[in-house]
Amino acid sequence: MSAATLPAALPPPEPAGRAPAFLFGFDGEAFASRRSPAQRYWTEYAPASRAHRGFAAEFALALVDLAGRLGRMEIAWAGGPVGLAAAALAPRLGLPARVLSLSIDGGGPPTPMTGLPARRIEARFEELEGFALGLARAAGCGNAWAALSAFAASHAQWPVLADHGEVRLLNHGIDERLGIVAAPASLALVDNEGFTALDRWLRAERRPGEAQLLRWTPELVAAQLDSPANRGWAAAALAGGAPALRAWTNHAARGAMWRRAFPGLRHAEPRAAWPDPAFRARMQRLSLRMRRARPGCATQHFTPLHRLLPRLGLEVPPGLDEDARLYGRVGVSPTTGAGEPGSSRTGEEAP
Amino acid sequence: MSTGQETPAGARPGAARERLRFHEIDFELWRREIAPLWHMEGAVHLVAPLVNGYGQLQYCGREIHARVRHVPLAAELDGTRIAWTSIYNISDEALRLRGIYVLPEWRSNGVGRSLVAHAISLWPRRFGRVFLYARLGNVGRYRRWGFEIVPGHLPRSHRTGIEGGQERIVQMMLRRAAADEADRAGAHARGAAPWLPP
Repeated sequence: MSAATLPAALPPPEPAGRAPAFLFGFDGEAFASRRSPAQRYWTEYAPASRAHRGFAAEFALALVDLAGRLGRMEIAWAGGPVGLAAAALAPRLGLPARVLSLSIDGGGPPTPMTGLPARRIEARFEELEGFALGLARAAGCGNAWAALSAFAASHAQWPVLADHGEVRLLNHGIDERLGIVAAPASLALVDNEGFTALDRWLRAERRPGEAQLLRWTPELVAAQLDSPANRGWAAAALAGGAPALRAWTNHAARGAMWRRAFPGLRHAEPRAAWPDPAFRARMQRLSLRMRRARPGCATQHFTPLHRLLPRLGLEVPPGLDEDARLYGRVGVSPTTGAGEPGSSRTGEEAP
Repeated sequence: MSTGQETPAGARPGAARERLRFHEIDFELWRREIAPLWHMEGAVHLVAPLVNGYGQLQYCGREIHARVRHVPLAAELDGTRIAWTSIYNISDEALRLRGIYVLPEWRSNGVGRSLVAHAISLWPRRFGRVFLYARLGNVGRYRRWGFEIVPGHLPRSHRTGIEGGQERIVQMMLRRAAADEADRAGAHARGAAPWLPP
């Protein structure tokens, strides 16, 4: 991979031929790469067209659909739940797949025994480091764990399913540094710019594959948000007080969601599968070096939950739209086209 | 965008604000000029065009590009820029002021207040609420300008460019209608809502 910044216009995704359920972009360009630190990063979720069938069922449907488009696929497992669940489901669903697992300096989680053919890559940390810094400079990523997923994917010989992604929720009302409820609950889905670095890398490298299986269909996104674990998280966040303080992010809820859907799944995030403290410390230092390698690409996009839930056909819990009451409403939905500010009912013009 | 005007601010003879001119300036220039005031000279590129402000921004997806109008502004005195702010819409009904910076030698002259009044005046009336995050030391000043602490919001931590230090900030809000009403009530009312320049 070139250390240079990726071109602004990236090749089309592979597999192609479907309307994307999840988009990202910079300013006016979708599926592009960043050209300037001043560009605004955004993500967007397509509306659901039917009711979801639950997380496990929607995950399986998404996996079958993806496999059908990729032909055969290599599940590049970096220790996370996406790869592990996909590897466990693939043989049961009769999908043509194999597992690629990763060992760094002789450590790392053992190859999962799923019945799929498997191969193991032995790499040195320095190799991961070189790859991660290149990924940071080229695609904008300051997270070594995301780079680990990308590193595993980079060794795939077939179209690849990257072990990557999560649906991260956050309550803006919590000041986690002070440990206080600083404001009424304001819940949002968080998309870090680095979360889509692997998407940009796959496209730039013209590698067929997918890095966002958890966002493959609107119904799969809906199923995650509507899971009992995430519903419980939202209820705690909206309750205020001590329950809200414990629910700054949905970190614990994500784990509970995975365990409920796939009993026996041990790790709800890749880093849990790499328990060696020395390795984790090196990863922490690597993240810092990655951020320094290309500063200004660590932006976040927040989708207010009170806007996302109806889009996905989900009920909005009472109290969830309080921030809309305070901060005002948006009259035109993202799907109906972008109006200019000021082209309002009143006919007044914005500056 | 050009605001199409250079607005003389204030009417008091001899006041600095009488000679102020307001301009929208390019964002790149804006952030280069405010970076020293933010102690971010070495990290200008980290000054992002928009910040969410703990859930303020109600737009999402492509709306972030298509619907948010970010207006970086500067106040000039006799051809020299002495104050900066920026303003953008966080929804179809509300605005956010981000950063109000006046060079130290020009503080307490009504410069910031005039610049803020100008920034708000650029927007249609339907943008009826204006939010900002105030450092605790500035809360009294913004109260005099007509802002109030948003009910239910407490001071919270905030990283600054000053060697990663933290300061306490709190969210404040101005209701334009209330401010206008107070202004219409006469000059004596400006003590309660003096964000409009006299």
